Amino acid sequence: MSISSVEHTSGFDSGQSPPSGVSSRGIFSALWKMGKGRFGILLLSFFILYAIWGYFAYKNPPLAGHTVEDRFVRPGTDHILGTDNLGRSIWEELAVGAGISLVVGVAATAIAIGLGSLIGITSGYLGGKFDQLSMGLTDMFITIPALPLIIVLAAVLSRGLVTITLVIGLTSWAVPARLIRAEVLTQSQRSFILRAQAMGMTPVRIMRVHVLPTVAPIVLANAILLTAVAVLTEAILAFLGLGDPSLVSWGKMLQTAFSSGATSRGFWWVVVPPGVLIAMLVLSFTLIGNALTEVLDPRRGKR
Amino acid sequence: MEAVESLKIQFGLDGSIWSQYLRYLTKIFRFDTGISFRTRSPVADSIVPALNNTLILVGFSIILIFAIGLAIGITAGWRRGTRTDSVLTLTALTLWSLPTFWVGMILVLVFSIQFGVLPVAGIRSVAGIYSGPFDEAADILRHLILPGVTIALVSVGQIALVMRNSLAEVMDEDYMLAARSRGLRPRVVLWRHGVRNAFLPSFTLMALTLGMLMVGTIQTEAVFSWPGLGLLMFKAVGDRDFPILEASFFVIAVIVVLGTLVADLFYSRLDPRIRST
Repeated sequence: MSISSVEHTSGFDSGQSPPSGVSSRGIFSALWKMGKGRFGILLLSFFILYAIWGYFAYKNPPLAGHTVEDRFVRPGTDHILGTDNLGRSIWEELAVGAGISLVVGVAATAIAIGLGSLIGITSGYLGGKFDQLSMGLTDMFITIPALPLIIVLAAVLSRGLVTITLVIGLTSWAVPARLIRAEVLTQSQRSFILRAQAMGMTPVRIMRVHVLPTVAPIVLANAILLTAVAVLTEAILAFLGLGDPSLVSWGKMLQTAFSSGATSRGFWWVVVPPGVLIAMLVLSFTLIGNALTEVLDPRRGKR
Repeated sequence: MEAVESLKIQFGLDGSIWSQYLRYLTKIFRFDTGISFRTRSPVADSIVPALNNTLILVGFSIILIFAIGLAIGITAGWRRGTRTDSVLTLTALTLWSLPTFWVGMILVLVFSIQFGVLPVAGIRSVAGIYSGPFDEAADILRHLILPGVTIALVSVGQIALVMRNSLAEVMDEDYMLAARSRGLRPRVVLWRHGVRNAFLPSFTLMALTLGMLMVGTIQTEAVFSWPGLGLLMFKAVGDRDFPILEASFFVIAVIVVLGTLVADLFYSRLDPRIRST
């Protein structure tokens, strides 16, 4: 449906003037008041600091041990968290892995949201044939299972962080695109948009000044949840051996643990920590995303 | 050079990318998926038995997910806003955040290595001599438990949350209040009026989750060497056996699309309100 076909039904629409929007500070304090929102924010802040510290404190990959005795050392005084199959310190590996998870997760989400916004906004605004065509494509991408597609793409392309980020980003734009298009359609029926049109504002300017700010919070909530999925996907790809071979990441740590037989020999200190950190990082994004969805739409969640 | 050319023709890698793609499209509709780079036998020969094993694993996990997920969701939704609710919701979110393959590794570490009660990997015991079909089924079931639980643990969270939210929404409906004020027992109110109306979203989700389950199986099969489609893909990634990868992806995509279709069809049957609109 194109905007020009929308009829002005009510003269007393509450949105006579553009809504001031929920201010970013307002959203933050609402999140903070919610138990899971606060927990998520604290957890995520910890991981961001941890990743920055790990980036400056240690090299990736950490140095391997010199002798066979350095391999699979139990946690103790020499190595706080023990060592892996190459005698590398688990403590250092965990610290450098945090950055990779965060960077890939956020960058892949940025690509997905950027592409999703572009497609969602244009097809919501233009309508007609373009809308039908692009939404058909979007539905196709929503239906096709993402991970198998990601695995096939990553297997065919060259191995590296950039490949992983691109592949994850370019396969997860469909859900945001649908969401944004639906939101654009609802927003364009509001009377302040019609008024702006009547005043002769250009479509691009209406999008930028009126539609984008009202759509932004919903997109943000979706983006945060998407980041959680992207972090998980990166770990899965690394575990399947599709990660960057020269860098240590949490998923890669688990892959070496698995392939070097640490699991079947019961070396728990190699297996447990990376998984716990992946789960906590994913959980922090999920909690914030969930809390944000509830803040924006109080009808959902508990009343 | 001639050898290279003949290999290219054998594997269908001759001609431009577009002509290769056109050939792929025409072949895929006849379910001709080419030959594996590694085994040099038709891809279908590897896919069919693998698909069979994957369906066993997925079927087992679906039963587990349905049972546990709905139980958690109904309990949390019925007591929405209480401490039980928030604990269960947080548990569901945490479970959802776990990497599937890691859960598998931990389960192996605990139940196979530490306690030695369940097999580490595979679908049958190595020296599998069975006295009868029941014996064989029991052996497969023993191998099925850990991978099945792995998939279920991670996927249970989503269905539990959906069930909880839809039940919590139904709880505020007028007919629930009416049912209670008529003096019906809470159990009857919950099951006959609450769950029946709140059940639909979880049902559709279940069919849609089929896609997510296939994703879980890829990781789980890699960890447990369960000889299904996932393990096939995992090995094909290492071997760069692209025909196998393409075909596995195609099969998984078809299954997921069919699942979505079935969900849509059932939805209108189960909920008459959809049909009228």
